Amino acid sequence: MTENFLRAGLHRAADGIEVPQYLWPSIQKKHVFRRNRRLYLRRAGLAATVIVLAVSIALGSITSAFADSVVKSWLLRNGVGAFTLTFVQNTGEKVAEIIPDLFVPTTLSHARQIAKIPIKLPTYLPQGITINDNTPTLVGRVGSAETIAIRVTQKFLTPDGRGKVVSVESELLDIRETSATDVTMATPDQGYTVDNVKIGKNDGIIVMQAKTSLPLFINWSDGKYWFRIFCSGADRNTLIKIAESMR
Amino acid sequence: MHSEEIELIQRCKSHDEAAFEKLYQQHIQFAYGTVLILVKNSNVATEVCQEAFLKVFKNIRRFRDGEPFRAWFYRILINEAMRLTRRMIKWPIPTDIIPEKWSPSQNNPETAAVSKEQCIEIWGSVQRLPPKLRVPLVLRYYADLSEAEIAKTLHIPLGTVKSRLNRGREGLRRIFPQTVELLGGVYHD
Repeated sequence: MTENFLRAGLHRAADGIEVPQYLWPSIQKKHVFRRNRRLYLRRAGLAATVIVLAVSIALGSITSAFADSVVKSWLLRNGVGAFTLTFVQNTGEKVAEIIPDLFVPTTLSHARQIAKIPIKLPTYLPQGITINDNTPTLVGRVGSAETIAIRVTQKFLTPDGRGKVVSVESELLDIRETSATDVTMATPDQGYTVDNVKIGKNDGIIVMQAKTSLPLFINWSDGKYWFRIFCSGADRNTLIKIAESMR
Repeated sequence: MHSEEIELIQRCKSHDEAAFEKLYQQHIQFAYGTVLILVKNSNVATEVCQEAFLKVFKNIRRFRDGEPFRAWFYRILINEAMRLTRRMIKWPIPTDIIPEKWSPSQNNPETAAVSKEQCIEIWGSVQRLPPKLRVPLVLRYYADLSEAEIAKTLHIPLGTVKSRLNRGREGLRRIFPQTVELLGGVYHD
C-alpha cells in the first residue's frame, strides 16, 4: 500500500510538469559547440606540439661545448650506481642531442636479458676488479643502435675539507660496447697523446695522458661492434691485455 | 536491453544525430521528473538534465555493450544532480508548477486518485528522508529502476539497495500516517 501511494504520489507530482521545450535545442547547440571546441583544442594542441618540436629541434642543435652540460643533465643516479651516457650525432659543425628510445640502468644479469646485442666481457681483469651478475650495467638504445655500459666502482670514506667524513665513489672500470655504425673515435685536443694499437687483428687507438703517459681509454672495433674500455691505474699493456681478452 | 535500444546506442556510438534525439526523447521525461523530485527546482533540473545528456553523448563510446543503459544513464544523472546541488540552497517544493488537474497515463491509473495537495504531501514526506535513502526510493518508485539497476547506478551492493529501500519505506511509515489518512486509504503492510 505504501509503495502504491508513494509511486502514485511521485508520478502525480512530477509527470504533470512539462519538460521545457527549449531543452533539446539547447542540448543540441551545446553538444555541437563542445564537440567543435574539443576538435579545435585537439588541433591547437597538435599545432602547439609541432611548434614546440620545431623550436626544440632548432634549439637542440648544440655545440660540442654544450654537449658537456648534456652529459651532466643525463647523469642518472640510482640504487645500482651512477651512469653518464651521451647520445650525440654529428650534423656538420654542430652536434645534436638525440633522445634515447631506451635508457635502463640495471644489473649485468638483467642487461643480458634485455639487450639485443651480445654483451662481451673481459676474461682478464687486474687484481681487485671483478665483474659479476650484479655489476651495474646500462642498456641504452637509439633506433637500432644499442649501447651497453658496464661500470665497476668502489666506495670509500674520506675526510672532506671541513673535517667531516664523506663517502666517495671512485671508478675502477668502464666498458662500453655499441652497435652504432657512425662512431668517431674520440681524440682529445690538448694534454693527451693518441697511439694506434692492434687489438688482436683489429685496429684501435689508445688515448694517454701526455704528462703521466697513463692511458685514459682504449677504443677499437671488431668489425661488428665498437668498444671502449677505461681501467683505473692500468698501464698501456694491461689495458691492451684487457681489450684482447674480451669474449 | 531490447534489441531496439542496443541498435539505438550503436547508432549513437557512430554519432548519429537522429539517434541522439531519439535517445533523448525516450529518457527525458523520467530523467527530468527524477531530478525535479530530488532538487525541487525546475531551472536546476533543466540544467542537470542538459549536462547529463551532454555527458552521455560525449561518453557514449565508453558505454559497454551488454550493461543496462538506464543504470549507466541514471548514474551520470544522479552524479550531475549531486554535483550541481551540493553547495546550493535547498528549495521548497515548487507547488505552483504542479498542475491542478492531471490526466494520468494508462500505466499509472492510481495517479488519478491523488490530488495536488496529496502529491505535495507525499513529495514532502520523501524530501524529509536523508539523501542516501531518498535517492534509491525515487529511482525505484518514480524512475522504475529495478533493484539491480539501482545497485549499478549508485555503485552499491544489491543488499545495500534492498536495505536502503526498506529503511526508506520504514522512514515513510513514520511520516505516512497523516498522508495515508489524507489519501483516504488504510495503512497496512
